[in-house]
Amino acid sequence: MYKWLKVALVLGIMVFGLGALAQEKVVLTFAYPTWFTDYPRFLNWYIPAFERYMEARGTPVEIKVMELPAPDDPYREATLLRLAAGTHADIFANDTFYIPADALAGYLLDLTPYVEKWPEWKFWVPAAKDAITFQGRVWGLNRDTDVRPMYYRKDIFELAGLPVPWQPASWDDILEAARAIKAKRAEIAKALGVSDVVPVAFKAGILGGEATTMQGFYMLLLGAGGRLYDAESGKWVAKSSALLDTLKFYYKIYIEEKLSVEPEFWMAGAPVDKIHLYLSNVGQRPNEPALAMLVTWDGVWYDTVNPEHERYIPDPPGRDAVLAYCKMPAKEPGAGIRGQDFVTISGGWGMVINAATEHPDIAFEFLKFVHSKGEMLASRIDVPGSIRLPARWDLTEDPVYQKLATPYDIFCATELVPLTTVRPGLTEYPKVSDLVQEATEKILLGEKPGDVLDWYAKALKQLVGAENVIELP
Amino acid sequence: MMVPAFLLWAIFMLGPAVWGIRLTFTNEALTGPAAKNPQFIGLANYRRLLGDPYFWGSVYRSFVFVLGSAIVGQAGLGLLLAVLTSERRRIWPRVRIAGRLATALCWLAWVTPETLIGWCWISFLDYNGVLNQILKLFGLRPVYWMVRHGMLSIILANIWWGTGWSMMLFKAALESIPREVEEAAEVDGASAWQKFRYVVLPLLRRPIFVNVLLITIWTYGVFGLPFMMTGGGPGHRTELMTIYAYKTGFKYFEIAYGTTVSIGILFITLFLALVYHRLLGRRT
Repeated sequence: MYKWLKVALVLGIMVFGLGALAQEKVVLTFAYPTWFTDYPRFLNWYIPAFERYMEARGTPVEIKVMELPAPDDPYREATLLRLAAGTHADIFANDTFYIPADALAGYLLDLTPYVEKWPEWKFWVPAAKDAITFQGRVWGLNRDTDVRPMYYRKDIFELAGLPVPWQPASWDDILEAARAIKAKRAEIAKALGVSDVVPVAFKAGILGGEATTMQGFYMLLLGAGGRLYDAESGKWVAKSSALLDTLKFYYKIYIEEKLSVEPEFWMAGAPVDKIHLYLSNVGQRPNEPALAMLVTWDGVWYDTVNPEHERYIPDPPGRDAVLAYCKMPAKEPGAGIRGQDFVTISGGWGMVINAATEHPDIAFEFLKFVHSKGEMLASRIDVPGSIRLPARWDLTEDPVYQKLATPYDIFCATELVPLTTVRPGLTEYPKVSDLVQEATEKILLGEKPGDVLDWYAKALKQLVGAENVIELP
Repeated sequence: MMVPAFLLWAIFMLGPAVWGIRLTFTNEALTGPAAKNPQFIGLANYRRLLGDPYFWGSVYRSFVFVLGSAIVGQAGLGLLLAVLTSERRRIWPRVRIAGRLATALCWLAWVTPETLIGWCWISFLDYNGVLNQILKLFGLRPVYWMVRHGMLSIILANIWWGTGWSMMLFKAALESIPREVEEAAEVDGASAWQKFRYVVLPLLRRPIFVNVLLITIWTYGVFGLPFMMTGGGPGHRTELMTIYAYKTGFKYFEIAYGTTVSIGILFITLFLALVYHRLLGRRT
């Protein structure tokens, strides 16, 4: 009797087990920044559509979303802790400047064999390829890149008696405009119905994180003809006149002439969020100031027409009546990097695969799905302002895509992209970036530019080794 | 019988501790090449720690924080409040109700979770916070309190948070002093201050020592409240030892060196505990 029960039990388990095996779905986890405008599109379209697509192909897949903290720095911390513990998602979005360090850490799946077999890889433009390539291997896929214009407020300029449209040709032009606005700040504030008018801001301080480095410091450094890393000698730049000029400019606007927010602004709360709220304040927040000039990410242009975004500029007056954009000038015409008159810098995020994934092939299928031309075009239509500078040239040349381009998109693609540069794609870069942020904070605390540069040179030598730094004239 | 308890202790306390100490002899990091192949680097982390100006800066700042918020603030204010509100030897009989209320409020602050205290103080001291709103009513300019006066801000917040503990401890100690001693002093014609200075205080010496030892060690370990309020900034001006250890490990992702910093903190606290212990042993 017992014997038969045992046999029945074993058989039952086998049948059940086999059945479960046949129906078992491949489960992949996915992490993406929740604060990105197209995050809902992943939840509502990409994931369910990909699941149906794989189901139809006979391989049922389930994609589970892993929500990580926001914004950039907490997201990064959560990512690294999960990677180190071996519990991170199979597929996740990563800021491309982290790719070198993470690739060397062994966290990322080398996608080179996958893209080589993928006929569509040939559509990636070289600049986009560079961002996801390290040591000759490909570590992710990206949909687009970005650039940084300078924004200014037309209404404030007009009230200050400045010309509109405006294109500064040098740092002095920016300073002069700022001085003109400062001279009339009380009057302009009253006319706009805001608490104060801030003439100009360049992102600064430790709390600003990578935004301080890339959208503040770097935009000035490039304009002074400098870089953080000297590719010719293969060394980090400890001292140069461009570094000093950049620090001096910070000192001028924050300490010497007080043309910006109070220095303490950058050391409390969430200053990067706040400075954008100042830029878009046309009186809807009467207790806060309005900001006249800011260098920032190109997507801000679209945030200000999105009623669900906190940067929204109410209509009336509407964004187009008050906000305008121009190129960030070099210190003087021709003084910028490569002898340029104007400068900008590009970055962007990529989608990478966890080296520890059990299903690399299916994970790459998902990447192919999201990065296909059709899906990117659909996303461009669906999410206003997304994928403005596509990584794929076949998309750029698509007539439907071209019809969608606004004058702003054309400005970014034709005026800024040819000027652009990238951050050094090196493992040490994120740490050097931390030093840069600290250097700007020292300026904010009132230290003299020369002293701060001495400190930077010393700290940099300690970080990368004295043999890996160079002092340029 | 002890085996399960020991196992749990070994898994959750001893294991991580041994693992942590082992980590300090490597160059393990959360990203970069050292994350893939951590190397054994001997005592290099400890040598770096001894010559690290940021670490010694944080040791100094922690000392100021402990002196200001624990020893002068919590213990000093706690003693004062305990004497003022004590039920048995009321210095000022009319404050009975007020005294009980004060006791309850101090205790309430002490039992409130750290994060909540953090938010209370942030909403009070923030640029758009309550204090600046009050200043504006009087036509004064708002101030970035936590940036301009970072150390003072976190010291005040920590006093506010922790005084209840010292107060309760001293109150209990006061109650335990025999009434006769005090009555004898009264018969001898001692004033209230003389009674306190020459009778009560000497008898309280031991509880005071024990309490100062406890809150010193706790306060060296405080992290959440100051981190929430200032994050160690501006620059490094409020970067306590704990905040420095956290930043090394989780902002700069040098997990091995961050652990070494923590071991450094452990030795400093241990050293202080020994000093107190010696003092306590000698005085009694």
